[in-house]
Amino acid sequence: MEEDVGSSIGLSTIMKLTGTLPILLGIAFLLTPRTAIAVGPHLTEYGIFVSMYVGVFAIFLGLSQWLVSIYVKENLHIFGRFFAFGLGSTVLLEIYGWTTGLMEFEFKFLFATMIPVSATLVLLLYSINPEQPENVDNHEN
Amino acid sequence: MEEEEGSVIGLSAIMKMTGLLPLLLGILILITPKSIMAVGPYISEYGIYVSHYVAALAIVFGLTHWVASIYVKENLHIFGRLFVSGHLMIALLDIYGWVTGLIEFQPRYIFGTMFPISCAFVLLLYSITPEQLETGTNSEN
Repeated sequence: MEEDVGSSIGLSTIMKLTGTLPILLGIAFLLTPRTAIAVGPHLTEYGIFVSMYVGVFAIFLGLSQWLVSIYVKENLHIFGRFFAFGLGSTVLLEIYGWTTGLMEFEFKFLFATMIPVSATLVLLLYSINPEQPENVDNHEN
Repeated sequence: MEEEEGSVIGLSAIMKMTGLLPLLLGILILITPKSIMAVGPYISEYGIYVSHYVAALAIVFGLTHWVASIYVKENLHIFGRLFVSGHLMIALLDIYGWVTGLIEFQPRYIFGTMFPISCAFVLLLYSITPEQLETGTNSEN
């Protein structure tokens, strides 16, 4: 009974929450690429065009997370791990940007990187163990 | 009986095939961004850095096709429709590049745009109607 109270937020909800991040980022990339991207002020018009693809792909990554959280019941943890890998890859790219000197090492960028890092960690935490489907519990009850 | 013979390739297989396109494109963009992208020769080092995000997210987009095709049994057609819109958005961005004059209007680029359009078309064809589960058919048998 105590376990039920503790697990009020499931992987499905976490997936929706973490999926909102790339959706919002993607929209921001499409609307204001120069201010939303760390290297935005240095981009040419061609770079801005390339960033639109980033925006579209980010939106679809977020939408995929939402669809999976709504329509997938079994194997949800596999998707959770997969999306953690996806978000983790963007974190790695940001670290790459710092190490190569393309991105200035500013506090605001460090703070921004913490958001996908925490999303990745939370997704990983919730998808380590396979979640029991709700209907199984209902049947047992 | 004739219907069963006709549906040799299902949505799952189509999803795997169409997922290969963004997967390969992403890998190629990571390896040779300047030669694989239409605006590649014109982008700066910052643009190259942004193209790494395109590559990473394209790979994740392609892998989502694969993971969904393997682990989703019910509602696969809904994921198919989402991926249709993803491929179409990529094609629309290509067209946007032509209209704005960022991409030169060359036959090879038209050929390149045909790939996401044909992927979207094939995926749409296969995901219009929900696919019957194999287990369901087996149970009926």
